[in-house]
Amino acid sequence: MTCREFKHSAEALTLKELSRAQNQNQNEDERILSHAQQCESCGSWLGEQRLLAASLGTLQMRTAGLGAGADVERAVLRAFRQNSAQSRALSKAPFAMRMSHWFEIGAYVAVAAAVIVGMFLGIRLLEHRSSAEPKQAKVSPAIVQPAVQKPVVAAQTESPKLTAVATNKSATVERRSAAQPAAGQKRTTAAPQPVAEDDSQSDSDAGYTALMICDPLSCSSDSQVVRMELPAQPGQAQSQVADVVVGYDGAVRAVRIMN
Amino acid sequence: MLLTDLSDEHLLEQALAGNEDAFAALYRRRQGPIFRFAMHMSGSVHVAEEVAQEVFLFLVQRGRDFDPERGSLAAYLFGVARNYVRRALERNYPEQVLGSPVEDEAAALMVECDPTEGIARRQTSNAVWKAVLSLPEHYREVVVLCDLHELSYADAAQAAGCAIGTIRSRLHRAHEMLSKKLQHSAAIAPVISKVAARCVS
Repeated sequence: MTCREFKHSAEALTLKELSRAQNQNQNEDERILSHAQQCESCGSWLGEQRLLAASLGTLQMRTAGLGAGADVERAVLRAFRQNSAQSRALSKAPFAMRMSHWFEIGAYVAVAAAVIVGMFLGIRLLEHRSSAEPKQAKVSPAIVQPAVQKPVVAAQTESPKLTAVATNKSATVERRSAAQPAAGQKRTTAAPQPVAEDDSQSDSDAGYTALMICDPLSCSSDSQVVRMELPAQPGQAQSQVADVVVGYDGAVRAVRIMN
Repeated sequence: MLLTDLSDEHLLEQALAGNEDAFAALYRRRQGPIFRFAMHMSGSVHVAEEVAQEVFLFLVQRGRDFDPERGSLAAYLFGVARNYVRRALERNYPEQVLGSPVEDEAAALMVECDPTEGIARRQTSNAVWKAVLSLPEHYREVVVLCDLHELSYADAAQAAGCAIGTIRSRLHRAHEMLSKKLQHSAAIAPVISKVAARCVS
């Protein structure tokens, strides 16, 4: 027997069996013991195991007769009686009572289902309300906006008309600026004449000379009319008054010399 | 036929049919090992009593779950007790762990020829008690099941809920640890060898 076989055989036995191995005349025990006598390390290992078995035996002996107290026994037997009385009563009870346990479970399930359905409906209702609210919020500013802007608009001229005037006049202005490359003031003084000559102009914008090409894209915003006094020219006795159409971007759209 | 002659499985069968005497006989037969197992595992008499009660209450309520084809009733009860002990240990009972084992009354009353032998025996069992309680839980349970309660490897495997090979390897490792722990207390070694020599002869 090799040391490996010894260990394998010895470990297959419990500690008690191993400590008793000497007293039994079985073949396997003899082989174990003979190897332990021959091999020093295996012999000492077997000795250790025997010491351990003996020391565990002392603890086993010391606690061998211990058990739970009488009150534990009473409690357990009382529980047994209650349990068997319940099961007897249940077996004698009518069918409906025996099924009462299932009815109880069914009631719990129904309550749970009602709670779940209620929660689901509540969530849906909240979702519905939250989806409806932003629509109202979107609509109301659109209604309010014009009312707020009205006072501002009151002092303004309508841009589409001005734009139309400006576009009508633009060709004339350009032609004139090419023919007279003189000072701005001279040009403005001469300006009313060609405008007056233009028969296509309406009464409201009569006398205005466009100072920039106003297409609907660049002059779409509202504009204001500002009356201003121009300083007198060297040859003239008094200053001149002009109406200037100024857009909200600060650019002058048109001008009209009043005197 | 006396109830005490019946096997555990037959007693349980009769108990489940409502026979109180059969249940009482089963309780008296099995409560001791269950109590001692819990005491060796926890080191506390209070835990052991609580576990013993819980195990038999479990048997009253869930006794029908026991399947004799899967193993013996004793191993089944040790398995249930093991679970209750684990729960109790999780709750921590460090203040209730005893420094030495509670002595059996019969063992305490035993008259010994050599008074020094009695002292030595007590010292040895105290040292073993401490060494066993200091083992990690899964090593402790195999030592308690196989060495102190002499369960077979198969029954211990059923109680611990693991394979037989695992029980063997754990037991081997636990014995090594125990030997080392006991060798550390040099005063006890000669006593153990003296007791061991007597046991062997």
